[in-house]
Amino acid sequence: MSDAPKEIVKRIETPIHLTFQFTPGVGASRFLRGIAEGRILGLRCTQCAKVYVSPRGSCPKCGAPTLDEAKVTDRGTITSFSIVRVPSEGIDIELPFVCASILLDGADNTFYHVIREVPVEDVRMGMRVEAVWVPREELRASLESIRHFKPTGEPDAPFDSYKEHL
Amino acid sequence: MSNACAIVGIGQTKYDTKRIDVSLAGLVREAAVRALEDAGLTFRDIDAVVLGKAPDTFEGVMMPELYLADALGALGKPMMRVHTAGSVGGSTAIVVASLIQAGIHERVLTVAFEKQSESNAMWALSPRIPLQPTVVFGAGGYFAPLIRAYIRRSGAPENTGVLVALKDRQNANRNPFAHLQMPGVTYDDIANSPMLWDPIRYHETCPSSDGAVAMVMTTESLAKKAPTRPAWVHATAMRSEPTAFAGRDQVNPQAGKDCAKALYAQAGITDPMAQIDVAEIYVPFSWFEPMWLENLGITPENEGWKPVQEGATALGGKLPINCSGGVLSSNPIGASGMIRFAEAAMQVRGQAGEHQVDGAKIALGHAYGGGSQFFSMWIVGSEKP
Amino acid sequence: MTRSSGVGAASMWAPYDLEYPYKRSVGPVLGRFFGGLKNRRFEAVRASDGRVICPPPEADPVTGEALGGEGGWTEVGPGGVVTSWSWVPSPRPKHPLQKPFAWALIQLDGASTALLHVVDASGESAMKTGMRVAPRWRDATVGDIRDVECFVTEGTR
Repeated sequence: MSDAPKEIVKRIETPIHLTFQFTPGVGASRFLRGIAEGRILGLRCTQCAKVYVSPRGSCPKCGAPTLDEAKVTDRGTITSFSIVRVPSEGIDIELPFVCASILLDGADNTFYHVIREVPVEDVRMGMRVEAVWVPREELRASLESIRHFKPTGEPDAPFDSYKEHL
Repeated sequence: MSNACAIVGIGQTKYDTKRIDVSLAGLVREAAVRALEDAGLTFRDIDAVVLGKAPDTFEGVMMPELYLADALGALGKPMMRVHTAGSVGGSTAIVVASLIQAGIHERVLTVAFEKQSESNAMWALSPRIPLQPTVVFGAGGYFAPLIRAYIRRSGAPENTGVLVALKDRQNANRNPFAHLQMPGVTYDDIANSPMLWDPIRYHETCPSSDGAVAMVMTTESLAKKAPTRPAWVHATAMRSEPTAFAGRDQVNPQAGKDCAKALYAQAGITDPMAQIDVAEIYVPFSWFEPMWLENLGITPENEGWKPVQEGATALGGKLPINCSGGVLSSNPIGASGMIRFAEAAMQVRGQAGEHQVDGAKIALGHAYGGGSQFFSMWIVGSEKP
Repeated sequence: MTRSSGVGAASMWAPYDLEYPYKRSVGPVLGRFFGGLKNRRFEAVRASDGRVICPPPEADPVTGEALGGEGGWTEVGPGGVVTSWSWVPSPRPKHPLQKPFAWALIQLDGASTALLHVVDASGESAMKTGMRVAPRWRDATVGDIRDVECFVTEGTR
């Protein structure tokens, strides 16, 4: 066949659909059940005694199990943050918003969440914040049960108190 | 003592937003054939093929190393794939170096690629997993707080990121393979670009790119028969650490410090600022240049911004960094690390054209990946170690 | 939402569905193959050892040299022979036919290699290695492997 091709296709669509059963594990499940009851559960490493919120069941540094429950409040300190001014797929939060790394009182690790109820320009490293929960009847096993964090109005935490958590 | 390893062939594709003119196979072949031509070899001369790329979800081809075997002339030869997130291009080159240094193969072809136009990296990296006790904000949302923490800790002038971006964009204009070309770019173009993830501005971020890079690496005896000057591997190192643990310094991760220390010990480097002539380091957001200068031990802690402010990292400076335009100008994720390694080798081969550092003899290639948790680095030189 | 892990401490679980809408650029060689399908033809390439390969690869499977250049093309099929097959008694939601069918390797007339596709047969007993089949094209072809709905026993529709 020496005749030229009638047509060259450039691109085709090849969608992929995958169906899994996701199992977060025992440690994360304990934490998520606590969230569904409106409380934040920390788990303590049996070796280094560090307290993890949103624990995975073992200490990422020691490899030892995190078994003992530790008291963690829903108040904490912003260790650092970003003002998100650009939309991203899968994020349906009104722009601009602050995405902050938060160190809860009683915890030794930080996690990211949204800061609201304050102009984005006024958010500071060291600012004290507290969780704003969804109504009791809407609580479920997801960090989205915390709508966002808002300033408590307390004085800022000194830099030295959180500089090991950057 | 291990055998010497030399880089005798390097090939790159043009990096671009959408290379819809080629398939994945066509993309990797473009780089591979150029590397073979540079080495004066053909697929028949190659003993083994090693492929590097980031997550399969970027293109939706599971185990692409199998699908790409024929395109890379790997029939009947050992073929393997390496994956260490964004650092994969670097770690792939290091795997190849060890195959030569250990005497297992004599000539290895290595290719790293990404074809981001086949999907959307944002959703491929951040699937919404149920029952996951985290909230996801994409790569910018993840890294921007680390940059703010760096600025606070180091007291760096706020325009440091702008200066890095301006330099890399100007360098890219000298590199015909670079994705983003901004002829006549000015300081104000960068400084006035919109804030995306404050403190990161639009022109301080990397693009999404399609592209591939390839190298041919070989033994000392075969390197002597190569048609062009080889680059010699002086040292390689890799380190990793968990994404998050209590007290982890994410701005200046321990794994990166340890990796650099091991690398310099192997290469006999005691004063990296003085002894390294040129460096290609993985900078996806402008501020990572001063951050990695500290992590790499090139400056003391909290002083990485000083050489940037002094212009020491520009072409013609004391330690030029990312003369190719860097990740900031071309980011085919899986290839980005190997591009750094290949550009370092090009510099000591005197092959870098318009962005060549005159007389470069010792060069550093650096890559990192994940949540600043995988590091791979090499030192290459114009002379055999 | 919970189930026992067998040691008293239960883990939760949840269904996790991922769907990615990839757009694949196919390059000049497969691009011509898919273009051929749109026009209800099977295009193949000739390899260095003389074999005719369909679907066509970009690189020679033996030498690694580029294939699909000027004069390297030939048309094969549309009929062919089943060289091997596997019966699917219970199709899954994303399968091409929503009734029992066979995945089959089909060597199109004139080709040296086989193409993986679907055979719509009345039952497993109707499938035989060596049977002759022909494509059933979908009404509106677009330039995609699914332009061939399936293969059927030659002479049927």
